[in-house]
This record gives sequence, structure tokens and C-alpha cells, in this order.
Amino acid sequence: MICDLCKKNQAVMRYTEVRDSRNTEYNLCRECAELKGLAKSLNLALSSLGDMLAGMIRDISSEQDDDNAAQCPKCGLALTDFKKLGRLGCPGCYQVFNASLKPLVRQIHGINDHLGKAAPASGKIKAAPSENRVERLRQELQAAVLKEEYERAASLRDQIRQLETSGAK
Amino acid sequence: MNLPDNGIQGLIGQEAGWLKTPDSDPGVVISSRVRLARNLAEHLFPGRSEQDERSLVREEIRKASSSVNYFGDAAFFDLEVLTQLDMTVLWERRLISSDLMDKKNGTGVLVGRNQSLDLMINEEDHIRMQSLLPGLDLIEAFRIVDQVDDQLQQRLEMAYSPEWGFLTCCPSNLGTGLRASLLIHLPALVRAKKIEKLLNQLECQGILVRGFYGEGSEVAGDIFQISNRATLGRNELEIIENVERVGRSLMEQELETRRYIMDRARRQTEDNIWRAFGILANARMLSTQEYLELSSSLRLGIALELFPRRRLNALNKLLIITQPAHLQIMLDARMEAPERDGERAKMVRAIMADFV
Ligand SMILES: [Zn+2]
Ligand SMILES: [Zn+2]
Repeated sequence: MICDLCKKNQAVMRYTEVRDSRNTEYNLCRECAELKGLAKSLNLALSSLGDMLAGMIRDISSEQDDDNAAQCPKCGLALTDFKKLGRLGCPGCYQVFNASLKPLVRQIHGINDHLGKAAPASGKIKAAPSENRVERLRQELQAAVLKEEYERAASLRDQIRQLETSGAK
Repeated sequence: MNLPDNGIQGLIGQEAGWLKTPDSDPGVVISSRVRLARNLAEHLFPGRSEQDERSLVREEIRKASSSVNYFGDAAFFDLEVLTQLDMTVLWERRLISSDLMDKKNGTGVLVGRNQSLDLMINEEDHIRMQSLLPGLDLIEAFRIVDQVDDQLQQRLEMAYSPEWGFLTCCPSNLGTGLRASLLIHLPALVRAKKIEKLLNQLECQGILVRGFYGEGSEVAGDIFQISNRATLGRNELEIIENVERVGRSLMEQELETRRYIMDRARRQTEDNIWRAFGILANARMLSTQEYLELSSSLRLGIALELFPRRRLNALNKLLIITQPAHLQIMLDARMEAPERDGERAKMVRAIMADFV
């Protein structure tokens, strides 16, 4: 077996990487394994989104068998491809596969409505972030004083002053 | 940032902004990161498009980004022309993902703001931009990346639907496209064996946890990464505040456990930390794994005031430069593991010489 990275050396180990939402398996040679280093973000196996997603896609597969042949006219992706890959091909896919995606999206996010920032072209007014940095620091300051963490309180107070003076300019 | 001919050397020579922990920060949360995923409305996602289209997308994004304030002095790296080692340096500095390293063709990364802001082009999505700050400060990290997004959207039409928000290649990033994550150092909770139960509970709060460094299911250096799971159905601030709240609560429990340990087992704890220091100050060979584990004790030692607070930045810096690709580029030599372990030990000894 040849190493998947350098495509040159003999692979000596099999390596499963869990990133964001996907499991990728590699066969690595000694050198590439070292180079990738142990600093690779390896999963704690506590909560793998990848496994969860794969399971969900399998679930919807059984419910939605009728339109498996459907294909996105823009990118050519078929619904069956999506079920295999868990990835869409283009923005248009979301329209074409809307009915199949709905239950999946609900399962991943618990909800189907976008409540965040809107694109300018959508005509929606961007919800202004209501955060107030100074206000937040004040709350922290109060908590620090209550806990008698005076050093921290002093530094928070300095930060607030700094922000207030820089804001006044 | 003025980059010499060798851009990678330039990056290594410059201390990344997110490594400088402010003195007011308790040092439990190492860094805060907010990432946004975006796609251009008129193009296929990178995984589905041909190289020509990817190159076109890359040009469009580069052109648009030239008008983004924060990218005024940004460096651009074309992954097609970088060596594996150079790419690994970018990865070790947390500027690119390993996915981007595997894709190469038509990809690139823009790095700005002292390496605390970067934008990956043609990873899984056309645009993955992230802001990385020291300590616990997700809201500021979001503010920066949100501004970049606003400015990009003046020039680029992003894929968006009113129902599902910003459209991403994987449905798990849909909506806000926002992933907020904290790198958090929890040595006392690990030593007190409280960590597993705590982290398992986080799942019900919509939080993903993983060990940041480590092999298999092991966690090295007691460093964890927590982030939001859902990206749709809440607004950006709700997502961020949830992660920040969980991070703050973990931080408080960590600090409380440190006090408890120092009350109950001060001598053992101090002994353990000084032994770690002894090894780091004298070892002739250090693997990355061993370095991570021992330096976790030193980090704890700083918090417990056994070492000066200002040494924290030296530890942060070592976290980056003791990694395999950094070592090789800095020493300008291709090295096998045993040789690297020797050079790593030398580098660490030099820092330990005036650590106390
Ligand atoms: Zn290899
Ligand atoms: Zn499509």
C-alpha cells in the first residue's frame, strides 16, 4: 500500500481523521505521519458530528426513496450522490433537493429557519448586533467584585476606561 | 505585513497576534476563534467544480478582498506552488485546514492582521474566513470577521436563501455559516478526573468538544476545543454567547479546582510542576507529545505563580515552533524524528534557561 499523501513511500499506518463533520481515512507512510504530527486535531470520540450526519442521511434515505433519481440541473449532482457524500454540489442543489433536505436540516440544527444575518441582496435589514462590549465588561466587573477578585476587577476597570476614552475620540 | 521573498519565513519571523495573552486574562482560555463559511452565488461548490472555475473563483475573491480594510497588508499564499513543508507550517500556525492541504489546486489563503485574520479560498466552501484572538473574546473575534464579510458582500453576491440563510457545501454549516470555538486549557479538571463527566454534559448544550492535540482518543497537553454544533436557527450573537457562556463556566470550574488542588495537595502539585520543569530544562530529546504534556504543567505553574506571568507568551510561542514543520523550516534542514526530538529539546532548553 502506498502513502496517500506523498504517493511515494510504503504506508505503515491507517489514520482516521475527524474534522468538522467528516471522517477521512488515510494510509500514511512514516514520514508523512510524522509530518502531520500528533498535533493533528484528532477527535475525542465524545461527539462526532460526522457519524451523526451519516446516520441521519441514512435515515432520510429510507423515507425519501421516490426522488432518488432527481438531479440538479446546474451541477449534475444526483440525490443518491448527496446521500453518499453528504455534500451538495452548488447553491442550486438546495432548491432541487429541498424536500429531502428539510428533514435532515431539521435534525442537524433542530430548526429550519434562518434567524441570522441576511445577505444585502435579500432586502432584509441586517440585524444590528446588540452587543455592547463595555456593558459586558461592566457585568464581569460586578461579578469580579462580588467574588472579591480585586486584581481582575482592577484590570477590567482599566479595560472599560480604555474603551470609553477610545470611543469618545 | 511586508513579506520578503520567502513568505513562509516571514510568517515564522512574525509573532502571531493570537499568541499574546493579555495580562488581565486568567490564561485558561488560550484563544477564541470565529469562522464564517460563504459561497459565491454563481459558482459550483469547489468540490464539484473544475480547476478553471476554481481559479476564476479564487481571482474574484482576491479582487474583492483587496478592498477589505483588514486585508490591506495581507499576504497571499497559493497552495499550488507551496511545498508540503511550507503548507504544513501554515497548518501548524492554524491558518489553514488539512483539507485545504489535500486539495491544493485553485486554493489559496489570505493572511492579515498579524496572522489573527485569514481567509481560505476553495476549501470545502469558496470562502472560509476566521478571526483568531488570544484569551476569551469571541465577540470581538466575531466583530472583525463580520466586518470582513460585510465588505466582501458589497462586491460579491453570496449564495443565500431566506429560508436557510447562507448556503454551504455541507448542510451542517448552513444559515449563519458560523463556528465559534475556544481553545481551553483544563489541567486541574483533568488531574482531578472531573473532565470527562463535564465534557459529556456539554453535548446537551449544543456544544462539540474534542481534544485539540493528541493521538487517537487521547488528549495531549490538557487542551480542548469547544465549539457550537448548530449554525442555523439562532442568530450569530446567540451562538457566540452560548459558546462563551460554556467556556466561562469551564474556566470558573477549572480555577476552582486549581484552588482545591492547592489547598489539598499543594506539595504534590508543586513537586509535579517542578519535575516537569526539570525535564524540560535538561532533556536532550523531546517528542511533541512529551513536550505538550510537560508544558501543560508549566502553564499550570504560571497560573499558580510558581513562574512569572510573562512566561506565558514564551510557552504559547513554543507551542507553535516546536511542531515538526516549524522546526525543519527554522533550522533549514530536513530531519527525521530522532533528530527533530534533539533540536526540539535544544530549543526548549534555551527558553527554560531563564524561565524561572
Ligand atoms: Zn508519505
Ligand atoms: Zn447543484
